[in-house]
Amino acid sequence: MNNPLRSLARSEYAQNMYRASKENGIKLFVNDSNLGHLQLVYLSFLSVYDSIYTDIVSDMLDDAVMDMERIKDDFLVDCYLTYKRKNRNKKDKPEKKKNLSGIPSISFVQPKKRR
Amino acid sequence: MGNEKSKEILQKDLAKKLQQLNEKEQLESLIKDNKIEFEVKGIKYRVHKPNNFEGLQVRKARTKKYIELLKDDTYMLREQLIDLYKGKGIDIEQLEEDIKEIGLQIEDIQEKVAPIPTESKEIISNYEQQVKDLVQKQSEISIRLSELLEYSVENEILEFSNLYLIYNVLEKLEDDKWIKCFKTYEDFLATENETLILEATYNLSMLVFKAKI
Repeated sequence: MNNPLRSLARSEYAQNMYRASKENGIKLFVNDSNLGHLQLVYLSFLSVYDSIYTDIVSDMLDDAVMDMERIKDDFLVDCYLTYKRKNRNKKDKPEKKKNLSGIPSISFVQPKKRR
Repeated sequence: MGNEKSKEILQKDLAKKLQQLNEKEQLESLIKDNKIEFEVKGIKYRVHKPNNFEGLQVRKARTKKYIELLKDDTYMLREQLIDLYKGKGIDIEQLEEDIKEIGLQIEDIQEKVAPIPTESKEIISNYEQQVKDLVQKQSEISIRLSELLEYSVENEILEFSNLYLIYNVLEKLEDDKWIKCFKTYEDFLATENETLILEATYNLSMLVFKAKI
């Protein structure tokens, strides 16, 4: 069963309000500061769904599947987010160059300057 | 209401309660500001997120209670309790590791599911069930951990702070004015209105406590 707070956050109405608040400073809550826990969770869901909608529209999905139907399923969204995070981490790590020549390689390190 | 197990149950109930809020308007009214109104036996009550002054009051009371418990030899610190359990063959750190390990297993399954086409409903459904089972397992270990560490000074302090916070922010509507529900903390503790305290705890959970939502 889907989480109602997430359902609200991904709705067209909530997403429009979120964009309006970012672009025009429209208030999402009565209070401006000292946000409550539920408000913070809701804000983070708004941001998460905003980024997924952007991924769908801009086709930035790599191998993971996400579309307007799949986004309605919390489990599939969680899978997509985990996939995205893990694969981003993999991409961020620079790949070590493989030595295919069979000849032992030597890496040259610049000696530290003596004071 | 006085132990960690009841808090776990409370968290589950809170999640269930949120599931029942199908009406968009109901949900919106919960997040529109930092106040939640509710009714018990025909009387209107509300809780609000504590302001800086109320937060400071809770902090002061908590510090006082902490010093009091440290002086009391019948209470043990979390670390002492962990050592004691070690001597009896219960490894708290291992249980904490198990929770983390299950978290990684869940992530591995999620990563596998992401590229599976939506048409492969049965495969996705099987993986979803596996995740549910793992979450259940994680929750059981977490409850066991909470039970084992229930009598630590740290847990006593947490319980005390939560109750003291509820006492501080619980108000009732009288003659169209919101007034503090209990004059003193002792009055609050002495109340037999369990429903009121439970409702206040549920609602305050949504504002301040780190409930799993």
